[in-house]
Amino acid sequence: MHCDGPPIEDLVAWLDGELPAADAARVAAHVDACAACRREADGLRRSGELVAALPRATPSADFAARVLASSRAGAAPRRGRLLRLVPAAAAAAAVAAVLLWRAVGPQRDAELGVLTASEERDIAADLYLLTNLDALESGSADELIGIVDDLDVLEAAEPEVAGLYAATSGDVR
Amino acid sequence: MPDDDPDADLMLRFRAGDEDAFAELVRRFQGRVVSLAARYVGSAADAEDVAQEVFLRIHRARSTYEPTARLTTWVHRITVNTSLNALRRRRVRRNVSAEMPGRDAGSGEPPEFADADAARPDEESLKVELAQVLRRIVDALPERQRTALLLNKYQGLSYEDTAAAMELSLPAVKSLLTRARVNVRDALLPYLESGTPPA
Repeated sequence: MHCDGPPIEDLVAWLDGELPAADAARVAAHVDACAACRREADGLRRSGELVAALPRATPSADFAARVLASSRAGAAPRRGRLLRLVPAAAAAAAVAAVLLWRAVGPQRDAELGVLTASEERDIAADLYLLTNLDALESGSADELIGIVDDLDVLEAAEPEVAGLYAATSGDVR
Repeated sequence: MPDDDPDADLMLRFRAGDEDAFAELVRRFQGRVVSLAARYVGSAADAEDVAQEVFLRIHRARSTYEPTARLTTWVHRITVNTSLNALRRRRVRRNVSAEMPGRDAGSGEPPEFADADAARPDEESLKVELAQVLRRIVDALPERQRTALLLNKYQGLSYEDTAAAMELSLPAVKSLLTRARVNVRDALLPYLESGTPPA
């Protein structure tokens, strides 16, 4: 149970060393005098320490070399199966995405507001799914999974190819 | 550019065409990127796939890179978004697989990185069990709470860098971190008191 002392956000920020000095001194003095807040602080400190100590995955010895090799080759990490099976459909989807972007692009600031990278990516994905409706309705599991893989390819495509998904995208804006 | 960010210097050298700078950047960040990705996708192998995509995105973005924030916040943002995309793709695949007869949807429970099957002394087994319990608790947090907690406590980013990586205000991150810490503590308490892992 938290008392009427400092807000719990300040208690956590104090534990994390993120309070200005004057506020930190005030919280420290209160915690020193208040058993309830000491218990509260102990539990919160422990939860933070445990998360910090969670196991860490270590990259394999050749990880950096693999990254450098694929970046030099300009290779995408994976290629979808359906893209290999029906390249024309995938190409049509990419072209449709570019056309839509060009049609909407000039108007979007004035009429629609700026689309986020996520919205642009969703439109590209929807277009691609529309292009592959037949496979979605009657395809095998492998074909369906291939469509999902192709969506990855659209995401990873260079902006001049996909049109809607800049390499910097929402990840780096 | 932030004055005290040697990592941003590396990226600027890379933008100017120095491929060695990119190699150094990969070496410098690979541990943090793989480690954080693994907290989302579960296995070290899947985390390396995500990490590879992260570095390829950085490679592709070099011409548009502007050092407006510390490089580490930018790399962490890409890592979080790429990891969440990977999780979404995995969910779609599971849904597709689950609806197709004769296909294995997978157990849905990735192993912790430590080898939990190996014979261990009791203390080590308890550590592994605690890590597994904690991982389930952290995984169950709302997405933004989990990301804020991992960036701040697991990756060691300051509140300010966590806010920059998540593109949120400082008060918003402070609030997320508080709720995350309270939720983790409350969920962990029964296990710490009784020793019985939550269902």
